[in-house]
Formats: sequence, C-alpha cells, structure tokens
Amino acid sequence: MKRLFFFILLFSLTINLYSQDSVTFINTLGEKERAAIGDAVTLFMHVTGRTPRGFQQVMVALKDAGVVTQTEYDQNAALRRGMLARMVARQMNLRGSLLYILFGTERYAYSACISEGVMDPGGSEWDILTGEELIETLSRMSEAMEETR
Amino acid sequence: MKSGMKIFIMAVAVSMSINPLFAEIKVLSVNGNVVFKKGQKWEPLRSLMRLTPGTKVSTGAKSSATLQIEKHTLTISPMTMIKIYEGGDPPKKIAAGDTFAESTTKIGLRRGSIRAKIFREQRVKTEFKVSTPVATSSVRGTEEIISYGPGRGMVIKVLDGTVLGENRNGSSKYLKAGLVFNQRPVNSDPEPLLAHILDNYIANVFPAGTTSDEVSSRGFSREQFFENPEGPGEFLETKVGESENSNVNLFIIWE
Repeated sequence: MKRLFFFILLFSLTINLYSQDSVTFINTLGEKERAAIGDAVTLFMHVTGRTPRGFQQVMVALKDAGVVTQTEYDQNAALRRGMLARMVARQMNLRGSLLYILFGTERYAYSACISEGVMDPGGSEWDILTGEELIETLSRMSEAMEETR
Repeated sequence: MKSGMKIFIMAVAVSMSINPLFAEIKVLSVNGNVVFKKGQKWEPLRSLMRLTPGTKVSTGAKSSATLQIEKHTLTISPMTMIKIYEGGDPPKKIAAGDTFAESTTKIGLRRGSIRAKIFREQRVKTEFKVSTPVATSSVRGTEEIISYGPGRGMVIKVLDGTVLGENRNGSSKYLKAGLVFNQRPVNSDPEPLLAHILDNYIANVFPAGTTSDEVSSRGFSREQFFENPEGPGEFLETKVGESENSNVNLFIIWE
C-alpha cells in the first residue's frame, strides 16, 4: 500500500514538473529573437499533446507521424518559415493548394498555410522566425485543428 | 487565552469581509499548466486563488484559465500571456454624493487569445480595456474574443454588444457583433471590418454607378467604399423584424 502511494505521489510530482516545464518553455521561447529547429519540434510536441523527450527521439516520433520527412537536422539551426509551414501543412493534412499537393515543397506549404489562415502573406519561406512568431503560428494551427474537429 | 482567541477570530472575520472591498480578481478554474507572476517568480495558478492588479498570467499548451474580475469573466486561451494592470475594485462614485459610479479594468495582452464577457450594471460606467502593442479594445458591456501575435497583430471578434478598437495612431472603429477588427503590426490602419468575409463570396455587389477604376481599387478602400456609397437607392433601410422588397439590377462581370 505504501509503495502504491509512493508511486502515485512520484507520478503526480513528475506530471507537475513536466507541466511546469511546458509553460516555462513557452515563456522562455517568447523572449528569443531567433527560434531554432529544436524549439519548433519541442513546441510542436506540446501543442499536439505529445511529450517531448530529447531532440532525436522527438524527430523520430515526428517522422513516424509523417510531420517531417527526415530526422537529420541541427537542433540549434535557425528555424525558417518554410520548414515550419511544411510541418504545419503535413500535420493539418492541408489539401487547399494544388501546387502543394503536387510538389510538397516548403514554398508551396507556406502558400497552403496562408490560404488556411495559419500564416500571413508578405514573407518568404526563407524568413527566420522569432520565438513569438513560432508560438503564434502553432497557436493558430492548434485553433484551426480544434475548429475542424 | 480565550480572549486572545476571540480577537484572532474577529480579526480573521474582519479581514475576510474587508478583502473583497479592495480587489476581486478570483481564479474560477484552471485547466492544465497555468502560472502567475507577481514580482520575479512564476508560480502555479490554482482554482479559487485571489490575484491583485499587477499580476501576469501565462498559460501553456492545451491549457486555459478562467478569471473573474469584479463581475466580468475572462477566459485565457492556451499559450497566452496577459497582465492585469487594473481591475477588481468595486465601482467608485464619480463625484461625492453622485449615484453614478465607474468601474475600470485594464488588461495587457502580450500574446495569445482571451475571451471577455463584460458585465454591465445600470448606473455604473463600465470600462474594460485590453491593450496590445499595436491597438486597444475598449468595451462597455459586451462579449468579445481578442487575440494578439506578431504576425496577425491584434484581432477583436465581437460576439455581442459594441466595442471600440483603436490603434496606436488614433485610428478607431466601432464594432458590433459579427465584425472583426484586425490591426496588423505592419499597417498604419486596421483592416476593413468585413475583410474576413468579403473574399468568401464568388460575387461582389457594388453600388450603382461604380466605375471600373473604383472596382479595381476596392482592395485598398473597400470598407469606406461600402460604408459611404454615392447616389440614391443603394441601400435598403429596414427595421429589426421587418422585411422590404426591392428590385436590384445585377451586372455580372466574369473575371
């Protein structure tokens, strides 16, 4: 009985610690002038209700889910709008852009995200995103997915 | 000892009865990971807590919180950060002996989205302001959803009542239910209030006498264009609950 109580306590503490990390992560990310690929995949996991555990494991999980096509990325490399657009387009299974369906490139994924209202026009797929921009995009993706449910 | 206990109980009772007179920001519910900051440290937010002006509240992914600020209800969406600048005080009388009072609530929205249901009391001038880096929303009794992000800017969706949206340049627009105010950071003026639905139609209807130049420039000034038509008979005037028949000539231009 004591053991069971101990495990329940440990489990609830772990959940609480993780929970705290999720919101702390977002607040820290909001201060960043330049978001990294590692930030994007970690936040992506949080937003889609999955637990991020290490960069490589996250990349494998996202590849298995069909969100990314490869796992070899530098987690500290700057996040570009095109890469995020492609992750979002794959997660949302966007079918609104014929060119994106045909070619599946980051450029057309960005166009598909604009027509879906998840991203804004006036930029390029090569733009480097700030932490706030990353949070805003994934927040809009989450809202759009909730609305379609 | 007994008298000491009595004094203690009385002090607690008095403090509990006085406390709501100073500030009434109550946490009604918390879902998921929500923290608040008063001073330097973020701490977990829990239901039934009481907050004071100057507090920041931040929600995590898939998390939300509902606050009661005086009689207003504020729902904070996931991945949002707000600061409560002012609010929770009971309505103050405008002048000594005056039967009218005023209640002010000021919120700063740094990121994310909030839904505000503002309670309007008779004889109380209610002001509920939500500010973002690009614009401010002022409400006097309504329900609205406000969001802010660096790309889209500030968006106010009015669900009920009337809202005044005003940007940093002083350009303002009154909104009613169904209208959307959107001030993008890169623009000097807000988007047209019907921009979110104008592009959803396969046909556009223009007032009589519209020239092709005016049609081609609708992207720049479509709202003013629709609000201030020139020439008689372009709009039907009907009262609520009434209907009116009218002949409309449509010239369809296939583009």
